[in-house]
Amino acid sequence: MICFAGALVVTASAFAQNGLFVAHGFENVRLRRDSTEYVLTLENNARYPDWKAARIATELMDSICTNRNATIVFLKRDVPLIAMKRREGIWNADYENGRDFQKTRFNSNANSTVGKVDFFLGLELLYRDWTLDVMYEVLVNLNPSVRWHMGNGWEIVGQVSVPVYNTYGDYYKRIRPTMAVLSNFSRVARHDYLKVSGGLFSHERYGVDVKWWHPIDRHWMIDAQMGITGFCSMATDWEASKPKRLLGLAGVQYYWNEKNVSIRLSGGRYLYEDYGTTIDVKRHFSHCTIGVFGQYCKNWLRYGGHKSAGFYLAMDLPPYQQKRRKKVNSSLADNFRITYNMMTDAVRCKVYRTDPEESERDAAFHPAFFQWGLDK
Amino acid sequence: MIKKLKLWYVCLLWTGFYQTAQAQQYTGTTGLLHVPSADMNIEGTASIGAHFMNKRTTPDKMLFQKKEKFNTLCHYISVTPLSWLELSYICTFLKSKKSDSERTGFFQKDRHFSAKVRLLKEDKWWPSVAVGCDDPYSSSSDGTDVTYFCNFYAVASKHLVTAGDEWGLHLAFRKYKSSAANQNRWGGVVGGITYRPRFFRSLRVIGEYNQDAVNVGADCMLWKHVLVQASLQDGKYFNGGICFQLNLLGKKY
Repeated sequence: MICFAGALVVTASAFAQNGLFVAHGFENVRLRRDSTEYVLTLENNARYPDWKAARIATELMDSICTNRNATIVFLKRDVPLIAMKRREGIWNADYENGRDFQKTRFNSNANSTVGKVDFFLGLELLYRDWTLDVMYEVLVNLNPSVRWHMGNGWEIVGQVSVPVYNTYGDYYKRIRPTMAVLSNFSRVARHDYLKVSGGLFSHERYGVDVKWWHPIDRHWMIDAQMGITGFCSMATDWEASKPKRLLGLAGVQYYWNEKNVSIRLSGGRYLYEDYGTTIDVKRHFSHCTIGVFGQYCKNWLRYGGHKSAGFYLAMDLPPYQQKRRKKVNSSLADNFRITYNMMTDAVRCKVYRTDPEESERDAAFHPAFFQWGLDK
Repeated sequence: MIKKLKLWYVCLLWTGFYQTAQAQQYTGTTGLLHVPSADMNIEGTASIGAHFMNKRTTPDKMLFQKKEKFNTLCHYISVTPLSWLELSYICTFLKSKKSDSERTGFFQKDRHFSAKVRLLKEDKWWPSVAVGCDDPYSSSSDGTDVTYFCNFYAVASKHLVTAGDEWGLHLAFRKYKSSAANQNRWGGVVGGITYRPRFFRSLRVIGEYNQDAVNVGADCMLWKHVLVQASLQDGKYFNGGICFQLNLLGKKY
């Protein structure tokens, strides 16, 4: 009887402590306590910048557990991504988190993402300077989108484009679906992450795409992407081609901790059968990322060497903290991005996007954890 | 009288007493009026703004129908991603005729980049030293040179504080691209002096010599984020602009 009462007290206490993290907007909160260690998993879908999520989570953990080791495993789609471990009072970031994650699998999952549906509205501003005596041609689209979290790393996203201002031409004037993707994110080995996507991507492509990341240490990461796609558009009528175009890119990324700067060199075969390379240097600020890039590509069949350069801005859109406790939620898209490309056209150095909210803010490397955890 | 002084003091605080301004506004980067300096913005600073350019300030090859100079407006965005690096993207309106009508207006534009790298940071004895360029690269598809502002420079700046007032001395060597030889009137050794009074640090008074004329002007940071600049080229011809500045790292100016 006493044991049963004790178990009830412990369970109630665990619920209260889970609630502390849920109150701050974290999802998939699981807490396991034993005599030597606290292990917590959580997912930051509350739109905190990564560094802020890490700070809030570690401060909360410090407040509930002071005399034991602690580990916080940050998840993405309920898949362990990176961990922060407190040993002898010092927090460090670490990719060694699979075993810690497994420890919590049978603990109750507070504010689970499984089954949640998010409706979000994106804004797309496109402009081009192709006509000599027209200052800019402009296309403004509203992009209402939906995301269904299916659990175990699976998601379905869909997006419709609604043109609200258009000087690009008739081709862009119709309301049309522009994205419909089923994807799975998984951790395939200790340091390897894989995202497999299939469906209708951006740039009017449909097919299958695979992305792979491998963080080597806290400075270096390698990644690769491969996809086979065809043309699919509903801009004027239903048009499609067989999925024959192969895209294959590989890159290496260096992260400069002190300044939160990442440098990525990538190359391979781009979307429209051109081969080339891109160097991309970006700095992450609190709520935006600013980067510059240079590109060189060549298509042996259509054109010779092509050089270009430009810059981009990707910024988080408010609200910067959002508590998603209901099964159906609505918000603005979590980012806005704008790119200037000096010598762009419709076919050179192009890569499709497989998610409506994909942007340069996405840091597969999660450098902010390292900056916060290891170097400060 | 004391009330008036108090009111004046409050006004100074309100306009951002401790904010400093240092822009060569027509390029979006730091500098004097038409002369560069080795000063740098605070790391993380992003700016967006516009500047009116008198036709005597525009390059000689920037002509309407190849014969007539014109007043124009440029707008820019700039960022200081690292404490030693400034980047800027500038768009200048060009006067032209519509191809399908006789309408005249600003239908075209020139786009260019500016960059400045600080090599040496100022300390007690040494001046700060920087190198930079405006419009370094022509991207015309037919291979013709369409750079209007192309120049490269090296510049040194040293600041002295006497009785709370700050004096800045700036000396630069500037080289314009040979194809823009008609702009070499601004090339060579150029420089200027800046003065920031102790009772109003957000104001900067500027006098400079750019090989062609002596320019005078001032800039001032208002409400922590709004920078205005006004100048008289050769003491007669107005240039001026306004920009919004924000520090992305939350650092204060």
